[in-house]
Amino acid sequence: MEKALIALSAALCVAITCLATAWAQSRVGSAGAGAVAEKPEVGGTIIILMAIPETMVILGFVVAIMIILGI
Amino acid sequence: MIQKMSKIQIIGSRRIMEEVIEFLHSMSMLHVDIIPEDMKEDISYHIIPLQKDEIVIKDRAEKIIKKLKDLLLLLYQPSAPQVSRERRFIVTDIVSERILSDYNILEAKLRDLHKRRSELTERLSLLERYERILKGLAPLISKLSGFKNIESTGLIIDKDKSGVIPLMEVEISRITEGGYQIFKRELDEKSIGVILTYQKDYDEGVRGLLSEEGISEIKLPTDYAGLPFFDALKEMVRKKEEIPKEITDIEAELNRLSDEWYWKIEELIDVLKDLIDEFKTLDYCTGTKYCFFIFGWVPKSYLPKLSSAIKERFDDRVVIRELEIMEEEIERVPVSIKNPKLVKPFEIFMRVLPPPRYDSIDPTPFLAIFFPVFFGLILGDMGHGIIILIIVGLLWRKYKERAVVQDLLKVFFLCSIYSIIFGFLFGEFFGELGERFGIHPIVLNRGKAIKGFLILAIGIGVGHVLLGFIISLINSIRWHKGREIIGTLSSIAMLFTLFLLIATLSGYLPKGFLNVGIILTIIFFPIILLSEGIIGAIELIKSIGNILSYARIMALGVASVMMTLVANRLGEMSGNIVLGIIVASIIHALNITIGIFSPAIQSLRLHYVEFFSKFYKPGGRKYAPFKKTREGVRLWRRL
Repeated sequence: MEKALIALSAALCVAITCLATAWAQSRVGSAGAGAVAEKPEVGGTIIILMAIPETMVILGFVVAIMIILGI
Repeated sequence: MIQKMSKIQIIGSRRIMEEVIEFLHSMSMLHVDIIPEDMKEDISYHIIPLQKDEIVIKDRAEKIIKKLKDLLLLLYQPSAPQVSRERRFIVTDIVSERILSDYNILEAKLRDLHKRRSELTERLSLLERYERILKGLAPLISKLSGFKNIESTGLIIDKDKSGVIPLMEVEISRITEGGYQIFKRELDEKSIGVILTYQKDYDEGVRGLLSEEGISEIKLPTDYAGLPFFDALKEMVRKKEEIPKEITDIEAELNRLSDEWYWKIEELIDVLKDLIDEFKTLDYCTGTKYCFFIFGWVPKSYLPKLSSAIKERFDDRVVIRELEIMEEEIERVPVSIKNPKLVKPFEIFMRVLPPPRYDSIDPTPFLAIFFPVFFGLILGDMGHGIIILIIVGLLWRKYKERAVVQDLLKVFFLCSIYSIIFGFLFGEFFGELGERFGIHPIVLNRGKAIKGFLILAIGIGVGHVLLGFIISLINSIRWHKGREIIGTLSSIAMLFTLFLLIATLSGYLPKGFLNVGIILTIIFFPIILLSEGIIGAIELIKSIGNILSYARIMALGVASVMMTLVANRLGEMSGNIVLGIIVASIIHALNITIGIFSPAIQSLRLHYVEFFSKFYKPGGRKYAPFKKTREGVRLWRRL
């Protein structure tokens, strides 16, 4: 039972942060696509902005690893 | 690295002002600037306005550039640019209409060619819509040739209604008193093409019958509306064969004109731009009755060369004064960045950011050191590294003339080398495939030692973020910014204190360190608040997030390992060696594609967001020297 709870907690850590990142990236992405259409030279900046919300899922992943490894 | 700049003032006789400006233009070193506030207060200076004829020439040059740019749009860009020959450009010529006469003729010719081409293309696409009918009925055209005073009509009848044709024939025979002919031919699986010919006198009766019975005639394009049906068909077939050749002839003529004119026009545009630049620089000149002054910036290393060149050309008639850079104008100092050959390709990644301020630090050398390392750590596979190296080698030859692509390829060359090195250290060659060839992990096995890899990634984060703080500290000391020195020092101390507390609470250090940590917090936290305000405290918390963000190195690294594992396992599961290789190759190819973009983007992000935020101050002005676009062309503008 304890193992199952640990696995569920770790999965939730990744899943919820994944959803949060996906939502943020959808907003950044759609705005970015509009910006690139008007100003193609901002393409590089938009790619970087797209990568910023990934911090959330990375942090979720770290916490999940900590839960699984019992750190 | 940001080059040291010199603030200079060039003083000379009014009589040689234009000559000096032309000389400075060809030297391409001076960043001309408006006169500083402290000098404006000296009332003996005044702006030297452009003369009337100069304004006329400047306006004319601007108009010609606009016209020439429009003309360029009508030409193709030939591959090899012509090398500019050294020559003089007589500036006053541009006022006369003669300079544009050749271009006016060229423009008329080009517009006509483009118009003809678009008309022909349109006609061809219209004819292509009748492809089915033309193809089906073309053999009948030869049979019908030679008839005179006859009318003809084309009809399309569905195959399943083909029974209507004999009935129609009976009716038409009655109307035309037997003076008709009917030709039938299968167009496709569903329809039959019919051409009906009869004497013109019976046209009204026949058309009335077709209309009454609801048999639809083939509608031909309006261009052919006046012609009898089969004449129109004949003409359409002929045109369809002729148009592609006409288009090819027009294209050939456009290519010939482009070869002849494109680079000539480009050169003239550049020369005119240079001319306008010179007039604009004249606008920056100030003077007294006998002297003129130009104010500007030049990299310190260029100053001796500029001074000696001016001395050699004008002797004592022109003097350069180096002025002191005031503290309040630091933000206005143009920033010139010069990096060693190995670091220079990485400047491509700095273009997405605004230039650093003069009192900041150019992070390109740090990017050149850490970017390939992070990339290698994430990809970390010898096989993938070798494939990227091969791709770089193949593209290198193809894009030899494109500087941006060349820079990117140099960066990825380094990245692939680091991927191979880390692949060797992690014992990865297309994942665990290397183990079969005797390649074993030396440092760690990324697929299994997840905890170790995570600690390594966070450790790199700690080092990288601390390096950012240290760079900021050194820069603050260099520019004597006391408040910033205290703030950065306190932040570094607080970070250490936080690590100390975490290590103690996690049981890695004895409990006694807890008191040390608390005392250090009591000392340094208020200092941060006093020196940087509440933002300093928030920044400190942010730094912890920044460090944890480096876990992405491990996350993406493990994801890459798992992808290769999936590729190899699926290949094995196929049970057939050929199919297995194909399946594994496809997944490896996908992994390599992701492996090029993802580590590059994530490494850049770690630099832009986590690392640069500790010391990078954007908002600098880019050093833009007063530079000739067309070197070797002398603007001969004595009026």
